Amino acid sequence: MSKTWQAQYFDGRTPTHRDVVLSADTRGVRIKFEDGSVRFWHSADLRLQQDLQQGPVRLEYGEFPPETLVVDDPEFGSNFGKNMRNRNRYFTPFLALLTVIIFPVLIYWGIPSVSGLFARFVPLSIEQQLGQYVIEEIFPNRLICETVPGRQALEKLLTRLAPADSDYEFQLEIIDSDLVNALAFPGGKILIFRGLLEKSPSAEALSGVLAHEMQHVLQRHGTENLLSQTALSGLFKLFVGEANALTETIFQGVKTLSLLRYTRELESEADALALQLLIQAKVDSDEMLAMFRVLQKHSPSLPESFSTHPDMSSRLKKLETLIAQNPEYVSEPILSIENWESLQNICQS
Amino acid sequence: MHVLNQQNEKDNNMTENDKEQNQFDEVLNEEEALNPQNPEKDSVPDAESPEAETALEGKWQLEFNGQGAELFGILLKNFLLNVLTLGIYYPWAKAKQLRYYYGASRISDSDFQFHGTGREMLIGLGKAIVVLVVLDFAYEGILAVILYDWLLAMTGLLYAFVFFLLIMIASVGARRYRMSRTSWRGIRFRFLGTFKHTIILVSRGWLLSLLSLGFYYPFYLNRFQDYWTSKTTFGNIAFSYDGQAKEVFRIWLKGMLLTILTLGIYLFWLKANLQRYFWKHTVYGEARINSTLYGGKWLWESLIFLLFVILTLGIGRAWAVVRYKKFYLGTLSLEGKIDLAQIKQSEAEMAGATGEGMADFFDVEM
Repeated sequence: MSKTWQAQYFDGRTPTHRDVVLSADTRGVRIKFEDGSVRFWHSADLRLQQDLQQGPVRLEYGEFPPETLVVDDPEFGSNFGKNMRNRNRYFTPFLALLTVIIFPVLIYWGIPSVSGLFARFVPLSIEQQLGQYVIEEIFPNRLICETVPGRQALEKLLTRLAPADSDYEFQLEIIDSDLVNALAFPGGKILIFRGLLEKSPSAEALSGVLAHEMQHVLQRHGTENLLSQTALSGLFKLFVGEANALTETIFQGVKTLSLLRYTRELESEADALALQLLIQAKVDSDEMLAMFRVLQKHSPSLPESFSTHPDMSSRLKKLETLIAQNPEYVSEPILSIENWESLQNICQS
Repeated sequence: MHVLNQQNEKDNNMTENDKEQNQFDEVLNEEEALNPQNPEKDSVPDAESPEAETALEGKWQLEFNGQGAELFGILLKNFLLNVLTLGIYYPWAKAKQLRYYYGASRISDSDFQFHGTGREMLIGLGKAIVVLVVLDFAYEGILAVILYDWLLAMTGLLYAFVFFLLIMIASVGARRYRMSRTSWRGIRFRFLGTFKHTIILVSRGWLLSLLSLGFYYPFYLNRFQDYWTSKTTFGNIAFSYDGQAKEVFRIWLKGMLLTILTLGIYLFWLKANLQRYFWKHTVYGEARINSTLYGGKWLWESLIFLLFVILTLGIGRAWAVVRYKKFYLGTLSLEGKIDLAQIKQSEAEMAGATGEGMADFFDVEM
């Protein structure tokens, strides 16, 4: 004798009910009315609904208006429900776990690689416009140092370092400012500040920084960064849907940290690839190390992009190992002494 | 003055109302004619046989028996799926949530049920998006070719008017949809209000309120409540509203004066007093809704809700919602006599979900 349940039957035409006794198996439910009449509903024709975990179970039968059976005992749902649907039990924990994994993976790995991929498809002309726009936004009133011999020296540096097969036309500007810094923008524009120029121990040392910035341009790091910023903002907007100030602040923190991490990775990449440019151009790579040591001294006061760079001493170490791994080569001076002097004095006209 | 107005309006609307009532009766007659010969249901004993309980008499408290933990599970799952699907899951999430809210609301030992599905709400949302995008493009297009300032001002007015119409359509549509998907003991609710009537009613109300420096506003509220309530049905029987405009006016006037004196704090009490009045004058059959919604308690519960959500960074939202719903439904009860056997399922046309979708954009709930 199978188990029976007390239930209420609604005919779907009036709100009155009648008490019935149910028995159920895999084929369906058998309904016994008080007057002795019996009906049978096939599983295939039934819709089972349970709105509350500990609430009543509802069986609907037929088109609108459906006949309905309401069983108050939630156990009926877990018994009979097994035949109807056995999914869902591990679904919620599974989803929670998935999100707990997916979200960090997305931030840590997904966004930077997808942005890197997409950055490659941005046309050069768009990058140039973008770069110009950003420069005008950040440095609208910059003072550009310009002398004829200084410019000649700069052009020499560029022609020697730039890879022959590149689509980019590099444009260098020396900005009259004490900042010990250099910046690269999408499309090929590079700004070097007078502070950095004056602190450079040699033309080769300056070439190390220049090669680094050129790699930012060639690897489209600026564009990539812009894309990851947009993607991160989008992702967080999704999460902070019902925003309150506190959660927003927390997410902002995560966002800033993520962005800093992306930039640091791009910096390491630019360092490694800059070395390749120096080697190809037969420029003394040891001078790049010398430059890094100078920058290390200045690093606490370094604003903007260098502060987002990895720790200077770890950069130095990495570069040293990379240099050691590459075969020795005979370097050639990149500028004559006169050229270097006129470049260093470019702002004194 | 306003009494005259009301009389006029009633005369004007008579034909429309009658038409609707007739249509409604027709549907019911058809249904009654059909029912006895329904072959599928013949084997079922007749609903009016002596063993069946037919009349309920007494007082029934509305209750909410949801649980925070359970609701939290639903909200969390919805949230995660929304994120994973970039928001496309939203209509299904909404359906699940509503199903829970309705299922947890009970009166006289029977719970309510929400029958809406994610699929129909997605379609509704899609239609609403198409309408809004087309309108927006049209507006931008008009702006692009306009040369004169006065034309620009006109376009702004037109835009505001279209916006108003959309909100009305959203409100009526959402209520039509919600009601037609709500049932109790297998019988559906319906909202038979029309876009046209609502738009006329509301724009008239606002216009007269403006012209009368706000004094018409309570009369409009009373009339709106009347329309909104009496067009709502459970099965074949409509709710009715017997509130008096002058009573609403009295509550409103007292409330406004105290609101000014208390620098706005009394507004909560005013809202509660009006709402309580509206509830208490809502009648179904021989039963009447009773409400114990008072400003102080309402304000307190709203503050607790807000504080709890903020302090838990939104994680405690589920528990806060359960608490608030327990409070709000706890203020409502039904008293009197309902003859269940008299209530018949109405098969009036089912509403689509476009209004519900549009209401999502404007965040309206009337």
